[in-house]
Amino acid sequence: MNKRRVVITGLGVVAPNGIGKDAFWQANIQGQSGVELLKGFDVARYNSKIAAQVKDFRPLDYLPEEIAKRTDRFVHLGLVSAKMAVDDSKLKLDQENRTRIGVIFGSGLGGVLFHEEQILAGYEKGTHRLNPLCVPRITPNAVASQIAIHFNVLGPNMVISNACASGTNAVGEAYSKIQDDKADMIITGGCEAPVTEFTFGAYDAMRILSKCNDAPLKASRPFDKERDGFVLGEGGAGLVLEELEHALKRNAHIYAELKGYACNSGAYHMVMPKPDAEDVIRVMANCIKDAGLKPQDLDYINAHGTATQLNDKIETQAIKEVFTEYARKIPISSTKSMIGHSIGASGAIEALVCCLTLENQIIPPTINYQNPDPDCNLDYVPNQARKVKIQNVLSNSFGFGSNNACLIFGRYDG
Amino acid sequence: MDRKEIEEKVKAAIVDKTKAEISEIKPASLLREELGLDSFAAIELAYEVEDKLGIIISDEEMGKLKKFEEIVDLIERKLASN
Repeated sequence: MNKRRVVITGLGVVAPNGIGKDAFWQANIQGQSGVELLKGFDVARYNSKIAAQVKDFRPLDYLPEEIAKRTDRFVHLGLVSAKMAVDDSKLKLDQENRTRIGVIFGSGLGGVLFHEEQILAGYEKGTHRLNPLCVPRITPNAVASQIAIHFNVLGPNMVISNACASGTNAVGEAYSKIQDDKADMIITGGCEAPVTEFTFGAYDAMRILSKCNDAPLKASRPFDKERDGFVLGEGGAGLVLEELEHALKRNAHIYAELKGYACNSGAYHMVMPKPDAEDVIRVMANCIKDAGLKPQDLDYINAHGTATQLNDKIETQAIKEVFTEYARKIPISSTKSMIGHSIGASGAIEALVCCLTLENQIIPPTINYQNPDPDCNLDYVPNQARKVKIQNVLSNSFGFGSNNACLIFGRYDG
Repeated sequence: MDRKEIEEKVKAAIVDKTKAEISEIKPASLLREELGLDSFAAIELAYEVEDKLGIIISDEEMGKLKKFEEIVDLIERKLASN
């Protein structure tokens, strides 16, 4: 049986270098970094003192006060992104069967800001005096539930928490639900707000964050020989996924078709990537197979590209294995060079970048690329966006715990 | 804190947690049926009042409250005995 086709008809984003898809896209093709010295708490004793934080974002500009004050920042970022995406899709919800519309979002960590505040309050006042909103504010599924409540959509609803691959898994699982006729539309995406005292400290303790504190804009350097770790970021992205015939019937604008999805595990380690890249090779190959394509049919790879020494080396090694001699020709770039790594949001933001890359036929660059690394010797679209003809793109996400996910988007040509 | 101030604080807290308008909150208004204060909103209200006014309202006490004026009475009594 032929599976149903799935297209993307709405996009919304709240990112460190731009709020809304137009501002975000302009920043991306101009290579603007959203990384700064971390604001909000004292970072003097951390190794890393920089972060990619969302600027000038006032939740009350977008959300009713009773929702904004009862939800954590990760929900603000997710719900606002979802609202932007639904607005962009021009969907008339009152004319739709709401039981056929679902929400699947990714978040690696949930409401860590409120969680941390309440732990401190618990020490002060006693843990028998906690805020009754602790559970509904902290729980990772708050974002999918709040989106469903906001739009009164009654279909499948879940949050996928799969570390750095959460957002990619969410989009992929949403795709599968529509393919399998479990829903006609899914509001999907990912969000994360991990720039908080404890959580930032926890990532800092792993010694995986960049210490390029003197030059924040240049700190995130994927694939560069001098790369020294990732920059922790925050953000959210929403995508409206829709069954093709449903989209055509309402004459929706189609950004791209979602053509392939694969996910797997390396069953190797909670932090370290598998040295032989077997899992990463397999997930990319399976995704290409799922899309019914060959490696040569792809025109761009949006890399996981975190800027840790190991990830970028292993990802390059795996691309060479999957794409063989074509690996030296295919353009590859890392969105994280501009907006750092926003954990559960990053895969969704990168999926949105893939849609806009197809829509605009421009590949955003890997910024801060200066020093070639013999272990990373492919075309990383250094520092300048590139206008080329693009038909199909691959997005990679490789999460802590050896959890990997890939998506393939293609131009919709009827 | 006088009774009027207590009334204003509680009204603001109820409006924040329900769809009720401040003008429709009367002394005899029924918290659940007329103002839409469901059981979880009542827990939130009690927590907020406790936090702001430094008093403790037990679950049993909160469970007995039916009307707006009864909350105000209870808070007034607690503050007076503090």
